Amino acid sequence: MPTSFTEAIKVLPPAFRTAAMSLPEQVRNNTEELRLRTGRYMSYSISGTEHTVKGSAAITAGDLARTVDMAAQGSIHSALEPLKHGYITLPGGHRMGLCGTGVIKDGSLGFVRDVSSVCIRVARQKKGIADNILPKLFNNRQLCNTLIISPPGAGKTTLLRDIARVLSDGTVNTRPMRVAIADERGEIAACHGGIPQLDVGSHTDVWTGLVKHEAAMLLLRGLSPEVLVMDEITEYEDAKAVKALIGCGVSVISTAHAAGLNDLHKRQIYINLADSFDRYVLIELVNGIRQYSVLEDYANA
Amino acid sequence: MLELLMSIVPMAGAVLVGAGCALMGLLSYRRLVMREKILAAWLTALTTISGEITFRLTPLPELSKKLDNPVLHGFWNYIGSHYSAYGDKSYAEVWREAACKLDLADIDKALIGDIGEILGRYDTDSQSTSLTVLRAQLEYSLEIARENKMKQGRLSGALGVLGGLILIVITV
Repeated sequence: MPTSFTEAIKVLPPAFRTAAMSLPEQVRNNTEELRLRTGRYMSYSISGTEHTVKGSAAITAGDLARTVDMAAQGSIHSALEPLKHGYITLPGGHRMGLCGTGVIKDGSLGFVRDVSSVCIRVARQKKGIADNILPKLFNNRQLCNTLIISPPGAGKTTLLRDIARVLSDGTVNTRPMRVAIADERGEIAACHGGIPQLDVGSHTDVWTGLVKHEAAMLLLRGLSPEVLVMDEITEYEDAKAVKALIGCGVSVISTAHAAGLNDLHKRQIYINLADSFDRYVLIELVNGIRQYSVLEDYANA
Repeated sequence: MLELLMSIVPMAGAVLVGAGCALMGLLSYRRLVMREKILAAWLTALTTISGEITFRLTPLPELSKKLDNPVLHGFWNYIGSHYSAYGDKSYAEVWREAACKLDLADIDKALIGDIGEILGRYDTDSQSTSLTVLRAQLEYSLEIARENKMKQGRLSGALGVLGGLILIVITV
């Protein structure tokens, strides 16, 4: 069975794939991101720090074009919608972010020409990371609406996935719950051919590829979930959907990009949601190690 | 016994030559029939390709599985076995190679081969437009193929059989 790293680097041109595979196994197992920039050397990130991959050639524009082509499986039409948002989801839930020259169509980004940078974020399933956190997300046996907060790349989606899995399968202390996932970018469950490639539990329904707030409302109407999981609240429509779901008795578990709680306080979208969440999970990287803390009150937070 | 053998050998030779001629005639007719069948199958395939790309946004590697049928099996099988999303060859290259192997006239092979440069490279509208143009071109080719089959098909079959018979008569 291929490792997450091996699976993620499939989209690289053969020479870069070989260079990436020549990294020591420990490095491969801990690499969080691979970055390719035109005219530079390929690099990898561990705990937020970038290192150059030795032995790889300087990257050309053609290498990046080929990488994007392979990521889209030679089918740009299939990847055009996410591409307009600056990324392509790869099989296995890995994500390729990119930038270059924007081609504007009807007033918004229609395509990315002359790709200049690519960042492949390696998705990893870490089963068990939610075990210590989950009991704190319950109040009188009722699951609290929870927001997971961290800067980009700290592991929000990984934790969110594990929370979904544990809630769905149930534990010694909790019964299995009906979990629904609004997986806009296909990063949580990594569905391929309708089957989640990552374990999100046996009582979980997944909407993939649809904008979060629309998916959330469809799940609410069609699948009557007890818990709704959605990644990254970024738009007012998402916040509106969260409020609607909570109003309907569905517990919401979601994530937000923020350096910390102070950061969160500064953004109107989250101030509006202050009364919606009862628990906040903070993920912090301390000396390269992830630390999780659960807070109960937004005001105190 | 030897005499009998001596009289049978030229006769058998003549029959074989005659059968060969007849076979050539029939093969020529079959080729015309096949060309018509392949073109008709392509027209059906183009409708499906267009729908899959514009409506379902199906990635190209999945097309070969969805469109495999007895008439175009060789084409889709070639693409399925020679194209890998993470391989060295682009979809367009493999598509063109597969098109070259079709049992069609060079002009039709070229038309089908060219569309590989468009598939997967552009947005759905551009691909749909190109597929519509190809469809019109192949419809014209199909018309010609049908006419050729009507005019030449029976003639080549009959000429083959007749030629064979004449050869038998002359030889024997």
